Amino acid sequence: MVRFRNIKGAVLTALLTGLVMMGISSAQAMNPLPNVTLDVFPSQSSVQPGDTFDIVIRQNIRDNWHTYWTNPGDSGEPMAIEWDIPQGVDVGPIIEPTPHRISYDPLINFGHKGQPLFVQSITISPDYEGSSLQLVGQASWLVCDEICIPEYQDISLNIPVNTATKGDVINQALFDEAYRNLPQSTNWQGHIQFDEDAKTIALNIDIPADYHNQMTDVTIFPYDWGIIDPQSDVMADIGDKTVTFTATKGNRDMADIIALGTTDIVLQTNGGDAFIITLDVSPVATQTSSTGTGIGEFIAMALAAILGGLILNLMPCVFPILSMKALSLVQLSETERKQAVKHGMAYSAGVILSFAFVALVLIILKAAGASIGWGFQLQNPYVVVVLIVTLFIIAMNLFGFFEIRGQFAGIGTKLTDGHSPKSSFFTGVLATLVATPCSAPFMASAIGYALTQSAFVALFIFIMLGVGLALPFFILTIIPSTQKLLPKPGAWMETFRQFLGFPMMASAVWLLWVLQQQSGDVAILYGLGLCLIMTLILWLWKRNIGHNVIAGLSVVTLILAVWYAPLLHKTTHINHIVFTQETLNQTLLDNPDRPVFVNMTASWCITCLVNERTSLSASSVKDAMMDRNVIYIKGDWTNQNPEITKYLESFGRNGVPLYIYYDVADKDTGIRPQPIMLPQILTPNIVTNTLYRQTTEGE
Amino acid sequence: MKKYIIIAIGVCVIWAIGMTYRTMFPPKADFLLLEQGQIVGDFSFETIDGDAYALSDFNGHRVAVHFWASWCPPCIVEFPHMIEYARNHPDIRIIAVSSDRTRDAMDRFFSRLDMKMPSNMMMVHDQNNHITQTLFSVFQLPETFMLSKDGVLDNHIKGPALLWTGN
Repeated sequence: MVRFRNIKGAVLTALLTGLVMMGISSAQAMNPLPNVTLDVFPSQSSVQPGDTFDIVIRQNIRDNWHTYWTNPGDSGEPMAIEWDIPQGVDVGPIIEPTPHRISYDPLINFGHKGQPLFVQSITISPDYEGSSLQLVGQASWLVCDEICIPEYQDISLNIPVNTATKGDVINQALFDEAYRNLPQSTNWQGHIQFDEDAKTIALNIDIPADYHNQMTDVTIFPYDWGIIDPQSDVMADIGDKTVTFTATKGNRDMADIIALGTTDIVLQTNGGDAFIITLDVSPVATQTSSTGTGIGEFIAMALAAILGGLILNLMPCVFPILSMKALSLVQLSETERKQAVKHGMAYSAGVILSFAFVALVLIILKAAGASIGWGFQLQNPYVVVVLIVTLFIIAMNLFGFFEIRGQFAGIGTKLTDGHSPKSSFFTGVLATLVATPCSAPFMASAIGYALTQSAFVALFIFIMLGVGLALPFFILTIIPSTQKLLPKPGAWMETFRQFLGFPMMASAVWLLWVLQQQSGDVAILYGLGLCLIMTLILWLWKRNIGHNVIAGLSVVTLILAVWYAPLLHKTTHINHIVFTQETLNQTLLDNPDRPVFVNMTASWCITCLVNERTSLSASSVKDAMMDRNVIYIKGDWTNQNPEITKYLESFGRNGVPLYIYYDVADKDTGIRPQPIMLPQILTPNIVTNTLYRQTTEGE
Repeated sequence: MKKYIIIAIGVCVIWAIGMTYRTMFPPKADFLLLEQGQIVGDFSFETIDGDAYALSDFNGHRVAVHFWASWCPPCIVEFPHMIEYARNHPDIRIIAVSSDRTRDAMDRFFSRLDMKMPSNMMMVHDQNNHITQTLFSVFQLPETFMLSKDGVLDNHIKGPALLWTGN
């Protein structure tokens, strides 16, 4: 019995010891001593209802450690305080002293060291009834040295409420110091502008002249993250009234920054004074629009857009549709001609609305921060596949493989074949859809311009493109006499129609090749497979084989198409010399005695390919390149590549081709002359002249 | 004698049942007393890509359980070195447990980092600090627990782990 009790005792002892040990170890596992302690000081000995007074919260930070400011810079987290606020009491935001730049290689953080003093203001409502004001709260902060520790402390404040007399001012010296260390509010006006390449940011601030001499060497602490790169140096350009500070843009999306509307910064001068300035964020990439030629350029670009749209009608993908639509007019009887205007209007509306839709997509994507230009739609292999199948079906229709009667497309049918102007509207939509792979002269410059302007201007330019595309058919319908220019109807029309299937099919074949460049060889199988199944479906339909079979097969095709869509996922093609901004910069730096030729291309860009075949591969050009010891860098924009987009934009372009020639650096100064932009359509002579021109001039 | 044999068999059976039960239902890990040379208990976690794992899935591999957060400067300085290390040591499994409050903060860090994560690194968002504080008693960052192929704690590194850079 005794023995049993002993065992029980031993077990109990062991358990207790274990528990105590665990308790000790758990306590040891927690960090034993905080690296920061907080003290809270009120500015008055007592308060009256209706008072507003300040408190100071002092962080006592252990040597070599630091805490973080509102915007901690590259990393970190600011202090937060959660007050348990009694009714009738209001607590303002924490106002932080001017921070320090704290380097933790390679990071730059904004934070506090030593004993920073934070100010918070407290308001008591006039009908507050308590005899004392009791505030309790929990403060949390992050403190770092070689390691980071999130720490917490409960804080409290207890001040008597005295309705009769005003409280005495206390802790005067501490509050004086606290206010001295806060950045001063100003009413200085300012706004932020972004460079076109979205890499640099300019802060234009109207600063009273008295302060100008302090502005040469300033530190800027933005309250919002990601606007200015914490690592960035700040350059000041002091004007009569406005001081412009330039810095590297932070990593936040432009759209996100613009959405802020305004943002505050602390500007700390070389004398140590710090000012709070509220800045407006300009919504537009301003360097072009502020220096641009304004209304003149706008009109020129609008005209270029109309012209570009007109020429688009002649492109192999659009021409067949327009031709058939135009020829359908020939077959109209006199009475039917009155209806033609309606069709012209509907067709134009279809085209223009589709262009407006494309513009909206572009504008939204652009605002969301995507780097895109014209041709962006072809950077997506899914869009390319849809276009291939569409072009293929249209071509099959033109060949006469099947007929669409009473359907919305109505490409080759008479306008008045019992269908409404709705069909013409959809022909307009279709014309725009099949026009998307094409780019015509004047179009690229107009779109390039549009995308650097405000959303409204961009939309307008796109609508002008639509107007250009719709114009020929619209004129034919609105001015009946112009129809006399059309040839007389006859049996030739069927031959012509079938012939038009060939440019259509050629467009599909070309897109198939683009697809292969984007997604590899297997994508060809995918594209051709879809075309084959579409042919089967059309054949079944033509042979009047049951609708259920056709519907079933269509569903199966759709499922298979979606199932195998991953075949279209991008593959990366590594060219012999691949462009990246870094490679280019390094090449330019390392080889001052060699010229550099940059070719920005895409496999869906016909002009680029023609230039490469006719000019860049010409033996005279090759020889000249060898002779001049040119370094040839090629950027492939077939798939999206924001770095290339930015490079294009830096030359005011929004699409490929782009050819840039950097001549050798001056032997004395070591500086390269301004790069030369070659025209978009090259001849061997243009290239060789460029390669030799600078040398001749230099010599 | 027969009695003792029966008792011995009985003990063995109970032990066997116990072991089977333990294998099938491993005890909930409690690492408050984690020390070098101890076997680290099993725990499960979900990666930010939605894949569910348990530590025991990586038996036979060296494992590093790394604690970090995007708000911790030493952690983000160390992070690229860790990725490089994982890339060069395909046999190791690195479980990178973040104490970030929001997923957004993690994503923002990853987009800034702009490095492809090797497949032997698993990113875990430990929003409620269950793994970090409750299981591993980590209250400062970064910290790394290096586990041997048998799941034994080899090394517990507080602060940036120099091993990533080969020091």
